Amino acid sequence: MWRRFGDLGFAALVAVVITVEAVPLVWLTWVVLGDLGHHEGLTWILLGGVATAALGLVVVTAYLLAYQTVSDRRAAALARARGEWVARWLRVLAGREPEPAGPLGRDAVGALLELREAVRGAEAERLLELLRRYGVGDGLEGRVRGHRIARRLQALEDLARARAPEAMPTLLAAVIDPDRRVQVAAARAAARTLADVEDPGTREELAEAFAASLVAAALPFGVIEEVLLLADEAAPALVRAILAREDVPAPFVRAALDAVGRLGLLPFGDAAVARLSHPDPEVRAAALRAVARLHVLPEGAREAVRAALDDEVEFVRIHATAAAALLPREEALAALWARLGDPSWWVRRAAADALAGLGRAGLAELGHAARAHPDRYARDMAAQALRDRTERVVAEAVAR
Amino acid sequence: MGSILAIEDDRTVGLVLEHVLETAGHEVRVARDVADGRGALAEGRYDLIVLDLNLPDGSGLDLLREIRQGGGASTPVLVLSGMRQEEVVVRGLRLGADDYVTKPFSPHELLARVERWLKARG
Repeated sequence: MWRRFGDLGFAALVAVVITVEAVPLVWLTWVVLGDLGHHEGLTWILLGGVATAALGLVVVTAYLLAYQTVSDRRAAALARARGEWVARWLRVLAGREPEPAGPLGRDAVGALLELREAVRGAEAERLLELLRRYGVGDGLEGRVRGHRIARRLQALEDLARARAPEAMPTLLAAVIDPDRRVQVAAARAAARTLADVEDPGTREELAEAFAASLVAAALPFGVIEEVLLLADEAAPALVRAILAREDVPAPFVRAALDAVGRLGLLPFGDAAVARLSHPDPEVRAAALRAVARLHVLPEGAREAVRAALDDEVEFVRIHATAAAALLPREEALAALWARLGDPSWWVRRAAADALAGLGRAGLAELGHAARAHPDRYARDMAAQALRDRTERVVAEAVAR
Repeated sequence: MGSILAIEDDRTVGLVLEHVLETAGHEVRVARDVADGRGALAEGRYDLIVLDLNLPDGSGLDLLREIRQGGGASTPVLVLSGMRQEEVVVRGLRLGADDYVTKPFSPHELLARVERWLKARG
């Protein structure tokens, strides 16, 4: 259970209660061990210890109840104050109320950031102007450079909501901070800020600097994937910056290639093809996924896909079956027929699915394989894929 | 001018919707979750529904299905969601949403879309 308000007070109270309880108990132990002959005082000490323990429990219980109530009330009061400020800022934006005098309080700043996060377009630009006029960004940047980790992380989250391009140097410096928590929060904030930069030249320039910081911080694959998602419309610029670097580690290339496929970034088709023979199997698999999703397989890249179908790594062969569907029809049918006899169940399944996706010719090939493939497991898989497809077609027809 | 139900759990987004639509002369009711939305739908008739998909007590897509199968079959529904994935957008439109706007959104664009649907409804 985590509460925004009262945690420190609760911790202090528990510490005091335990100490108060501990003192008579220590005394009791001392007396019992050292003065066993004097029984009169011992009774009172025992009673005192029990009464103190009971009182301690009552106090803690009462505090817990008060703690919940106060916390809920303060959270509600905060939400109400934020809501009032949001309404006020909306009236300011509409020109129905003058801008409030600075400096702004915490609720006013919070409401301004919430609004900035919620809207885009002309209103978002106007909100950014207000943030600048009241010096909100400067204050947050100062806190990012501070020492207290909680304040730094909160400031990075607020900067992510502010999406102020002028904060990028501070954010990029924080990406290479020694603390991993700061690195990750800064990378997220920088990605969201970059997403809001519209000028193509500035966006490319910032994307290159961002890619350099990400590489220097050696952030893990998952964070890079998240950054590419958060970068939104700036993702192509970031993908270009990552793929253009020679020093880029394999996880970065994987994440960039996955973004190429997911976002359908056709201009990066050649970059994906160029990595079909990459020494890292994860990168080869990502390149095959990208090629399959883009539906682009230049003639010169066909040999790499053929080679991937025989790759020693199972998951590379799985992704190669999807890309093999892009080979010339007869060649694709033959390659997938061969993969139906792969030692791996997963590759056989992927080959069967790829054949099922090739229309009537693929289904005919599956039928032929179910009857006449020399490998017994290939025959079973082809038959199973046909049964599954039939069930799906029937279910869809019934649902309609 | 129309009567609009906005089912949106984010307080700030709800306030923006209220402000933008009421300033344009529309009557707006904001529901904070699926249960609140069902209650509002049971109590009144609306010319248009603005629907968030991630609601605290359920999915907006399920509510959309209910609206389409119930009394609101012909009411225009504009989905306002932070989910941009193609499959979610397609699913929303297939379930009967008339329009899909992603967050963060432009209040002007949203108002233009709302008024287009209100005009189409006559």
